[in-house]
Amino acid sequence: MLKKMILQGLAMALCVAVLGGGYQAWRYGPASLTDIVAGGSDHGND
Amino acid sequence: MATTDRKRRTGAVTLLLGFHAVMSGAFLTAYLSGGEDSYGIHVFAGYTVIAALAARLLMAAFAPRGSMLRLPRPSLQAAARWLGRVLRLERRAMGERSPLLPWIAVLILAGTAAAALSGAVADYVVQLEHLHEALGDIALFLAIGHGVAMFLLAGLKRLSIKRLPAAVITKPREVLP
Repeated sequence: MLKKMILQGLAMALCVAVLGGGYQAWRYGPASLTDIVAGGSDHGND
Repeated sequence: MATTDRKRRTGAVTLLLGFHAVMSGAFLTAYLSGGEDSYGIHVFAGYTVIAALAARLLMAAFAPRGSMLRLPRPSLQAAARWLGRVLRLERRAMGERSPLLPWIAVLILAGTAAAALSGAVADYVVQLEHLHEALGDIALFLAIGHGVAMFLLAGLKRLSIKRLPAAVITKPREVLP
């Protein structure tokens, strides 16, 4: 039961992260997601 | 009658499992996305935590008396009595539902609610950001403690079934109503 609950929580964390990613892309533009993947924005740096 | 009760109980367990999954998943995502680059994900996950908490309060408000969906009511006396019985290695106490569970539930619900609600306020009042961060850290420790406590209680239950030698088992006291 405990293992099942942990797995359900992790699956839901993934769902929320994906939906949250969609919200971030809609709110701040798709480029904001590449900043996360790149490990930090470099605004102001050319 | 018994079938209806069983159906109701199964429905309540399903709702509670769903709440736990959404709550734990959204909290984990909110905590991990606390950085500047993932602010949108952090806000989305934080509001999901608030929505889950609101749904849980609604479930409790409309649940009939005696339902599992009612909010937990911790009792200091019951917890102390149970701990005393466990320390005396009473097998029945180890195997039964622990009165520590309502305490654990109330602590984790209050901790995550404080973290999430302070985050929603800090979205508009920037001065509260440090408070929100501190409450988020406290909520994380509460969540970790909650997980450890659940494993310990599950272990205790298993111990009550299998490993305790008959010689150390004391006769259980009469359970008060």
